[in-house]
Amino acid sequence: MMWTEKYKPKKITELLQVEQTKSLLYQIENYKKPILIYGPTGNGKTTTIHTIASSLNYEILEVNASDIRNTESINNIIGNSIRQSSLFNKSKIILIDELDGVSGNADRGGVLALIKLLDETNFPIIMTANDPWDSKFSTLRKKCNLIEFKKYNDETITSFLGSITKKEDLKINYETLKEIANLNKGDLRASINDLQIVSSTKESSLDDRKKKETAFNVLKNIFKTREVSTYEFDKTDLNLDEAMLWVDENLPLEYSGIDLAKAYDALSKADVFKGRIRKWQYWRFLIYQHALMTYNIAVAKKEINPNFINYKRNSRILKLWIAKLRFSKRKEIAEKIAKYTHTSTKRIIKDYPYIKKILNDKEIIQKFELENKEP
Amino acid sequence: MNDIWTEKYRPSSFDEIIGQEKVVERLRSFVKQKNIPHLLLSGPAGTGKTTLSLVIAKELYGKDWRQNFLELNASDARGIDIIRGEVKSFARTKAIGTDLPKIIYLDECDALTKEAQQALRRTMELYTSTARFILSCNLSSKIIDPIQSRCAVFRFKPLEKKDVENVIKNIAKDEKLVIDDRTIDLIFEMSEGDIRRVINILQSCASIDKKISESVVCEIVSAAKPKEIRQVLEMSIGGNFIKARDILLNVMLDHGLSGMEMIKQIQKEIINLNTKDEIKARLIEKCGEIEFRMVEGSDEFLQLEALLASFSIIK
Repeated sequence: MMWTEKYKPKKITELLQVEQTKSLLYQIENYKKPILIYGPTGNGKTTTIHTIASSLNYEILEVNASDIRNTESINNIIGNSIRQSSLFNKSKIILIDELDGVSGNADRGGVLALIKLLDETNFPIIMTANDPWDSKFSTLRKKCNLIEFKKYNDETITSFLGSITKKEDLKINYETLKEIANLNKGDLRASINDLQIVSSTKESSLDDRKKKETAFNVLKNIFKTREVSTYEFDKTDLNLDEAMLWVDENLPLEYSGIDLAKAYDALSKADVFKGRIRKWQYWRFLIYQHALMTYNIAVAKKEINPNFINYKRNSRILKLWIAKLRFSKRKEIAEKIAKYTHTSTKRIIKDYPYIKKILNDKEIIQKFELENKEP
Repeated sequence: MNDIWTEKYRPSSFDEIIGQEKVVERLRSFVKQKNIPHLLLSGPAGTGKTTLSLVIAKELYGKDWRQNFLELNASDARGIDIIRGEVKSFARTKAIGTDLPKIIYLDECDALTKEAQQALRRTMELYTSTARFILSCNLSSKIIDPIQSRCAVFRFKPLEKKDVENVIKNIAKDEKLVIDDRTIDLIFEMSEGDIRRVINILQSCASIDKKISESVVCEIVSAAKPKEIRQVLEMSIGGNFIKARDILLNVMLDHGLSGMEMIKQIQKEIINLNTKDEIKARLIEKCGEIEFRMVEGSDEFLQLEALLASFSIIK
């Protein structure tokens, strides 16, 4: 089961956007004007509406904005059901989700049709949008009450992820949760998805604190002195790959300008030797890899940076790894399209930005069974 | 039913093909004489290599073409052994409904290593009595001589402007699109003569609005070429390494791009910088050096960081 479903709020009290929820509740119960909820993706706009509606016993009539092209298409989708009374005599809320996808401007196309609809219906209409300040919505905006759903900060997301790891009994360290939150820039849905991916594939290591201490001492020797043994990292139980990431992450915090360029040149050569070892299994190259990433970096500096630097762990491997998993969905799609269009998966992936919009088409989604397409 | 236009508008006979007149003429005469040698089609992406191969099959075998035509992609197939296996089981039997040999179309052959190409050469010889090979590649220089000498080589050129214009106008008529000449020019420029890209851009635009405007074309094309690359370049040259590295990583994460793709885009963007030509020349040289190390090394991102760090001292 998707955790985004499993951990979806069930009661109003569980909603995270507290102030916004209050305001929305009030506006629905004292409905006067269409409500436009806006804010970045994955911060609970749709979830809040659904939760409120079910607790107030409203039926939601959901319309995807990309289906709104003109008056006729709106009537096809919404028109009839507005006239029908609900099966269980519930009141209805019309939810027009992801308004950003609607076509046209205030004078034609979907937006115009939508404005007409707002004027004609008696049912409460709630719309969601990422960017309501787009010029095409200027007329529409004036007809609505706006509620902003702010993007979550990293701490909110981290602690929410933390509560999931507790319930799922996962051993994932706080740092990783923080990385996931940071990576998703306030998108809780994406963060939960990433957590689920991480939990299903990766065991987290527990000796992180110890590692950090070790790395700290070695890095200090390399960055703050010139008397460095070429085997500096051999004294520790860090493996060489990890060591390299520590150096890489913190080098620009200590060096700058020409020193930084020189040091990175050494580190880049160390990486080349690493590649050569892998390719040819010629282990004597290890000597050069070690020397380049310790001694050569230590002597690359003209002066020693006198400031204390709190060395950070490198997070890009985790980030790139999560991104790779995320894009594996894209690869699956590309395979289908490649076969159909007589070309290679690689080529489709390369051209993905050009065809992305095409793949949003409903009929194309059906044709290639792309239901679980990437977000 | 909506379809992917690159397929919907793929020509299915010689007469429908726009451009590549010389190649078409010679291939047409091969088909007419019902005597096809092995072919090597070389040229940039989206110039009609696959389309012409499909047309040859359709014209030769008529409705039975699917049974007599095997399509393989060297860059997706996992190794030459898989390719050999498929070729073997396909070429073992005679063609259906005809006395002609079957056709095996192997796309993107430049993805094969030299050793794999040697193996391919032997496979080609082994099945010459029952099958003809059509190989396609972007650069014929990457194909070993023994294969080249066994094939009739055809070189495909990027599509000319008038051809691209024709294709766009035909589709526009059929799909009831509104498009003006300036927008057509823009799509042509962005496509680099690659007709698949032209049609993909066109369909993407049409999915937003039947009236194709320059701004929508730009929006779609810029998604393929993140504008942050310029920012990364300017920041690293200005010495703001940490910020440049953050943006670079984010671009890679958001767009799912590899380090190799990033360095290609950086190299292309250098030429657009507002700086002295000598500096651009040195920046490009540095790019080349780092791309080489990327191929040799193991950590693409680390190599990109070394590139950014080196940019700040090129003056």
